[in-house]
Amino acid sequence: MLKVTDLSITLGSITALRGLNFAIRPGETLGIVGESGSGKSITALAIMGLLPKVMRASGRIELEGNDLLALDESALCRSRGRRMAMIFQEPMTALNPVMPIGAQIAEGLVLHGIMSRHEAAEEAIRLVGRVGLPDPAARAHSYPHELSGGQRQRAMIAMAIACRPALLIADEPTSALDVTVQAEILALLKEVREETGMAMLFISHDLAVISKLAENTLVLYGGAAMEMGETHALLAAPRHPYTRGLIAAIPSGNAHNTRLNPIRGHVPELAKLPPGCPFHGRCPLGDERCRIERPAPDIAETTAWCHHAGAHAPLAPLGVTS
Amino acid sequence: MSVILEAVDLHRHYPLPREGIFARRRHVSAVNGVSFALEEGKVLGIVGESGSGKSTLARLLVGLEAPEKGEVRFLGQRISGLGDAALRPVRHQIQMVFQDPFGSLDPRMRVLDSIGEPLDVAEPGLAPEARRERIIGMLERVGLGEGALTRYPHQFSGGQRQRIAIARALITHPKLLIADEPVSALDVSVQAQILNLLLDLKLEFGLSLVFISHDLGIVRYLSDRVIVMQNGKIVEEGETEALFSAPAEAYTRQLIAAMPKL
Repeated sequence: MLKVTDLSITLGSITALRGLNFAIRPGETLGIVGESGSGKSITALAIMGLLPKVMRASGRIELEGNDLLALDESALCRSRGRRMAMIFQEPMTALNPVMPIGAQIAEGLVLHGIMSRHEAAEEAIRLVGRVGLPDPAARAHSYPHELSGGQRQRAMIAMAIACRPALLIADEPTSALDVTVQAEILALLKEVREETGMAMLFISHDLAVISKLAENTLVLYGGAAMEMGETHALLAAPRHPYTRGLIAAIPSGNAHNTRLNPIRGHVPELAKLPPGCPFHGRCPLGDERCRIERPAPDIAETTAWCHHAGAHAPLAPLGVTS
Repeated sequence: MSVILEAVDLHRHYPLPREGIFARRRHVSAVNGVSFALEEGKVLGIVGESGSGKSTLARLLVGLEAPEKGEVRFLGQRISGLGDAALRPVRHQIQMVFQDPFGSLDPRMRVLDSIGEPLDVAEPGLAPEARRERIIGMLERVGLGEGALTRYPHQFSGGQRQRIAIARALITHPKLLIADEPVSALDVSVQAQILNLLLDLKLEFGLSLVFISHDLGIVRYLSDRVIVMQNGKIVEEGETEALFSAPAEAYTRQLIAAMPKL
């Protein structure tokens, strides 16, 4: 469904994304996890063709066989919203504040010539009900400010799935929501994915949230892939030191006054990354080779872009505290 | 162990906008009869969803707002409803960190001065060299380098700004820290550094902490006791492990069940 090949994004002399490769099949979800500056949101924007003009993308992004990077703006407009849609962390900034949500949901259907205005209005009401908003006929006339955060995110989802896109990109869709609402939205996304068979790209900083939804997970750091594989395998036996560090940094149970294992140092600026592995400066296994030479993918249970992921390399304990 | 902070039957409500010019003004109860006691050197976690009143409670505890009813006691002394002058002696012993670090740093102040300011008030006689060293030491503990000293808040990322705000709150070694979602905006790897820092300060200096968060995982990790809030009231309170392993209230069970786990 979606195939990304050697995608790189540059901003002047800064490389924001280095040679990313992944594919998502229909009905499947790929989770992208990463910290700020890892390149996860930029990947989403590149696929949607929404990168700021100052950024340059190279490589291939194929959706249903078409290379999106080769399309001109008008062709891109035809697939944006119709073949691919996106939902964001803060729906309030993505929804039009002076338009009822029903009209916003119907807009895409009319714009892409799928339905007449009248049919679209009815379909919008059906969709409002589908995403679990009570009393859909009345709710369709509500303005975004009349809805709670969770309800707005439901409206966004209705808008995104209206044209039955082949690909749905969700960028931190539940990060601003309360846990109980988050659980409901995740369940809803799962349902609509199963109903429509769309592929989903789910972006989050939260590994636990990703594990609820994604069959496969890609771990990004400093604009480069660190590890990719089946979510269960990746969580059960992470092979990249960064993935292991991320998991170790999540609090579990009660401390009883024992410390966590944070990853030492802090997320570096993209302009100051070494030519080799971006994680080099913070990695407990980092050596001179890591600094200079970009690691090739090491394929086993998961794929790890690490010189030290080989089965024979000793797994040093990650108890390095700052 | 002595009690450092006590909330006694705290009430705080806000007026709603009038629905008509002759309509009676209605009120929403943000905090409605909250009482608890925090022992010295312990961590009290407060969890609740948005609108539960946990942030209003934080503002009441540090005296940013006065309760309509009830009182806040610090080391046995009433501090709610006191004037600025009466509060001054206890102010530097109670510090606060908010979720949004932009609101708590002066945009025109270099980091050196932002962090130094509370130190100048608490320890006016400190020599410039010693002052600088204290500030650098604090910056390092929150994971920032000496290079941060002469920069301004806007030159940092959100996570870095939060660490500066935390450094500013902790530099005077307060007895009590009220932290309202202090790590919610931080990356996981940085979040762990800050949680370790808070734990260290608790163990080394006996820092007492009120830790407010919607993230049950973090609250469970850090807290000795936990309060669950809903609609301005305490729904359940207990020792952390007891509360998480055997929650008594349906609402607590619902929250724990909704928590995504690895």
